[in-house]
Amino acid sequence: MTDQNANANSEYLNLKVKSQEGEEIFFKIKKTTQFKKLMDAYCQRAQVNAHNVRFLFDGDRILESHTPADLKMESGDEIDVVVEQVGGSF
Amino acid sequence: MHKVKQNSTQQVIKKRSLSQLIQIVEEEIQFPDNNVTVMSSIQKQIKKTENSFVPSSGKDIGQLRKLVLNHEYYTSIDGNIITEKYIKLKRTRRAIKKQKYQQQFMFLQTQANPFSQTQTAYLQPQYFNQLQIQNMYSPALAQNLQGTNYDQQLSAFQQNQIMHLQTLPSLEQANSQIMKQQLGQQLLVPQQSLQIQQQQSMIQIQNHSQNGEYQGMVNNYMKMDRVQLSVKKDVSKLDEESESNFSDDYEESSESDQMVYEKFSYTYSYMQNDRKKDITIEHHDLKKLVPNQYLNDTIVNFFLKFFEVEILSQEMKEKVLIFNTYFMSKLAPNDQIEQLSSSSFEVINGLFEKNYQAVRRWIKEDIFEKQFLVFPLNLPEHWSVIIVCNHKNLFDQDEKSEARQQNSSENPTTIDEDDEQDQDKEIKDENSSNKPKKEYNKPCLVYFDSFGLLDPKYSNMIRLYLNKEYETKKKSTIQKNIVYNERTLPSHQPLIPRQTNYVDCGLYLLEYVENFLNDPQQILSLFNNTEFDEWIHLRWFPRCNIHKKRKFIKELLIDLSKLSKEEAAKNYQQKRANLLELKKDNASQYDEIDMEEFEDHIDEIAEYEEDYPNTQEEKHRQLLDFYMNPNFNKYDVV
Repeated sequence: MTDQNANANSEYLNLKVKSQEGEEIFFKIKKTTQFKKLMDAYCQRAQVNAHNVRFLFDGDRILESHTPADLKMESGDEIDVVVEQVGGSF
Repeated sequence: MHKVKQNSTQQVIKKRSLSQLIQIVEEEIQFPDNNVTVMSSIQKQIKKTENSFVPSSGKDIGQLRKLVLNHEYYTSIDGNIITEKYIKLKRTRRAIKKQKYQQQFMFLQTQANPFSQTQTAYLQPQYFNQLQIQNMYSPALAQNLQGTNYDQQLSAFQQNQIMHLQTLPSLEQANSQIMKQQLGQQLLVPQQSLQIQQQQSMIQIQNHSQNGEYQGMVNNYMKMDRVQLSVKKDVSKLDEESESNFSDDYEESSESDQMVYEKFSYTYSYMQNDRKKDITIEHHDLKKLVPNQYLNDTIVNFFLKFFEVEILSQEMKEKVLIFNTYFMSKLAPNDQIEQLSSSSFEVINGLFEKNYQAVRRWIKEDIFEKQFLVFPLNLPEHWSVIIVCNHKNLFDQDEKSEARQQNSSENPTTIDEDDEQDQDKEIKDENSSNKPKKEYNKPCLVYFDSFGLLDPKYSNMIRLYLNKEYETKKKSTIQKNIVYNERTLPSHQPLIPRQTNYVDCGLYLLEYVENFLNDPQQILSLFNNTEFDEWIHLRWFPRCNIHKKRKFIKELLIDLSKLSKEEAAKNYQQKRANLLELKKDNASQYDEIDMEEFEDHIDEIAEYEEDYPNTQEEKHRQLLDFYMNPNFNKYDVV
């Protein structure tokens, strides 16, 4: 029993997704699941267009095809959401 | 065969409605190089009908004209046409303005003479109040201004002034309260349609409170006049052509390009700190490289990274750290702009401590190992960049000077000799290496902005960041108290080519960084040098680099999706080198547009100040003023 629990725990991560305004949403995600799933869920919940937001882990863009294992993430890690930056004039 | 085709396209164009033509040009801008013949015949059509005037088509034809110019801007080989056109336009405008100003002035002089001296006093700025300016814009005037030629407009304006001057009582009477009230009732124009003009007048009065309302009024008049003139040039023939189907070959050929856009997705991977990193550019990012679009963070980050990793020399790569665009947005977020502009150090430091936590783990490199730190800035709707240079030398230099002090305390009699010898050595070194300019190795922060902005809150945040990093990561090994502040890490702003439209600032950012890192000393050596000419004639890069950059980056991305990174990088460098080679002999023209703008600015000042000092020092001061103040950036949209 205890072994199974440990396995289950290590298979899933709790990640904190933090918006620019400081709102936090927690997601439980499998280490081997692509981030696309999390991103879609977040965008739907926050009602934003996926093209207009970026997910950052330690300052680097997370791609849809990345998995938490790719990025060596641990439970409790924080993901920053920033909106698309544009500029042309002043 | 070719001729037949050209004729047929011309006929097709003649059958098009204006809106269809606009669509053609828009597509041509987005997916260029497809049909030169179509564009040239549209241009010919526009030129032919340049002098006819139909008000109803004004807006559309203006749009078409602008688009055609835009198309030229982005497709001309070297940008020469644009520079020439721009400068010609500027010079003509300035001449017209001067002429008008003189005419107005002469007129007021002659009209004033028949009246008594007290009446003349009304022409002094302090006697023009808002009410009188309202009267200048009476409905009668507004109606007369509809006239199409300049003479009619001028005479309408003059008529109005005569009416106005005749209704004025003498100065003494006006000073009495009753007369003022009467005057008020008499001159008040309550029409709602005038409200906008009144507001304009108010703004003008505020703007010109120091220089006199008269000037504001004349300016306001000229603004109206300019609008009139621009409408006047419009074309009629094109508008009335019947709407016909268009099913031409160029439609299809641009479609194939569109397919590229819709399917495009490329992931650029590179190694950083032994970890693989990726940037994915999707079709919607690629569309940001189409003319008239604002660049987004993906394109900026991709190009800076690609340039750093694939194009920079190995030697330089080790000296440079380019931050991503999100870094400064976390450190100095746009929603904290007001608080960060606060003068209280506690407030700023408090915000910094909070914001720093968000980026604390981002940078794995030792920033004090690098010579140049590049911080792209995303202000609201605007891109600019700060480059920190030689920040390491702050404690390196300290070491040297301390070593010297220690030496001197041991042998106090020989300090001076030592110093002199050191200096001699330095001079000899310079001579032997045959370097034309002395290298600038002092710590400094260089602010590049295509609108001439220099916002101290961003440089302050960067200084606080450097201090924090030093405190937490470096102090224990160096064991010295180092503080980066405005004295130890001063901000510099070189007089760089500036933006001539309202969309390209992202390209300017990329071009600034690329040029700076290719040869940092070209900019840095300026700070050694106080020679006026060196500053203003920087000859940094030709402006065509900017409008070709969209195309080059787009082609680079398409190359990357087909070829190897090395080949794509080589292609990009080759294109850029060809462009620079083409413009090499015209380096003196690089700063021409900026100089023209400056002349404009000087002219405006000269209008206000009669005995305007034309000394070199004064001009120098004005030039710096001009460059440092974004309010003076009045480039017309090209």
